[in-house]
Amino acid sequence: MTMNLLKSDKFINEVISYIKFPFDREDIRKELEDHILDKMEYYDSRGIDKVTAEELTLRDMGNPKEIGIALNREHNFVLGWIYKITNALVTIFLIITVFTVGISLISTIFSGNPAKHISKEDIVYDIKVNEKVKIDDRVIKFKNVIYEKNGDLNIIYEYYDTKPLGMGWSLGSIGTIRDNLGNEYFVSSGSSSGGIVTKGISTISNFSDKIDTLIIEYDMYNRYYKVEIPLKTGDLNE
Amino acid sequence: MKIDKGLVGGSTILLLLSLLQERDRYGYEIIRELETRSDNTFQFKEGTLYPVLHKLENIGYVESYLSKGDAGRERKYYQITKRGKKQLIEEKRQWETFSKSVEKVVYGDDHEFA
Amino acid sequence: MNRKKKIVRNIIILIALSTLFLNRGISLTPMAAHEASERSIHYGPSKVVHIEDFDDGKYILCKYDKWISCNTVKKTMFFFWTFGNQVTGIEIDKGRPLNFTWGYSSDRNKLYGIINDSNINKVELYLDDGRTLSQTEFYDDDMFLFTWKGESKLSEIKAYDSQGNILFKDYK
Repeated sequence: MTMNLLKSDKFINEVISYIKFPFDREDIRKELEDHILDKMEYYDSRGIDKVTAEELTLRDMGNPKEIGIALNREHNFVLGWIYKITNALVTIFLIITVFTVGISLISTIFSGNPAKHISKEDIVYDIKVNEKVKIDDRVIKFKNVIYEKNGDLNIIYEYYDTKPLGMGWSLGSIGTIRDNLGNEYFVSSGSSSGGIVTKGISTISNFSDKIDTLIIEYDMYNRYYKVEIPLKTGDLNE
Repeated sequence: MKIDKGLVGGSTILLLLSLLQERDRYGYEIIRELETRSDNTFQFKEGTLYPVLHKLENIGYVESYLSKGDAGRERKYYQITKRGKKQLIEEKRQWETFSKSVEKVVYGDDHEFA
Repeated sequence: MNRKKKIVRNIIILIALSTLFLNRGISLTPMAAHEASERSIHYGPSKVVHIEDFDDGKYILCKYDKWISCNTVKKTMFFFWTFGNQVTGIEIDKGRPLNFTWGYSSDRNKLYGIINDSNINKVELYLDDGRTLSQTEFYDDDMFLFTWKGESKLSEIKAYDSQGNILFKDYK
């Protein structure tokens, strides 16, 4: 308190002693202090000395035990704790949410184009595929197919979970890759990265430029899709 | 004449909500206003106001906030809520009914109001 | 807003945030984690035939269509459950009296399988440290699960009929 008011402090301490929920005590103390200070100013403005003013003020305030018990009834211990705990939980959950969403967003923004390492001069053709398939909660989009002069065929795709903020398994395989003649190809390299949307690239080496159609077929554990991609053959295009 | 019946018994809510209906006030302000307007008829232990205010807040008739206001120091102000305003109308109605009934008993049936 | 209203508001926020997170990697129950794990890896939904605890998780022995699997889920953050590993399984080959597969994760080993020959009434495992494990009561009448801790690995597996004849044998 601003002035040295031992009796007032004693009064308030006694009131506070009846408040069982500890976290409300300081607010109550402040409210009572403000009232007492206001009342003492009132007596002071009527020319009464500080010592008497304090005595009169405390007499006007009433019985500290009565006030304390009545106040305690309005500051329920159980509710108070439930409030405090739910507040803490909300804070924790919000932090986790912001953190998770933040990381997903940042990963998505920074993952960029998986084919950015392929320079334009090396590209024989870049076919836009834009086919979408879905298995369980995963939507997979085959974006484009880039064929390079060195014989590498790159399948660029992306996928996302229809349940956002989901943590789940990455896509293991995009499926079996064949051509229209039935030859099967194996992916020599691949990578994927991303947050909300994962972007991936699968590369097949030594792919012949005579192939008509690329067929990607996923057939595992009763999940199925098939994507057929007509390829350009013959002369080099840009 | 001083009336000290704890906080004037059943009309407490009516009095407090009326004062807060006019403007937001802090505890000491409410006490002063009650005393002034009632020509000091209503005087009671000032500390006992706070349990009532806190109760009104728990019920939802008032809300509190901290503010420096015109009064310099930062104090806890009380503000009437929509629910509080509705309750005030109800309290006023009940008071009118109550006081009319008392009048009828004390002064007899032929005492009419214009 | 008074305290009661704030508590209600907090609970609503907690429920709303939870629905964003629950069953997407973090679940309230082991079964929810198991189901989410299977769906995320595009397998199942399996029929669970047996569940067995280990330190901080559970083995979930399952059947799905023509496959059997033994998924794991792990306890995390005190109250929650999350994906383990080895979610998908092996295809049942009715041509053999018994199908099995085994794997390990740090010092926890598991071996599970299905009995295709109904005459088999005992399956025995011989570990390379000399221990023998056996099972005569099978889950869903035909599945078995052996778990053991330590460095020792499978040496041999044998299956017997009620007369003690060996109907199946396999070496590591």
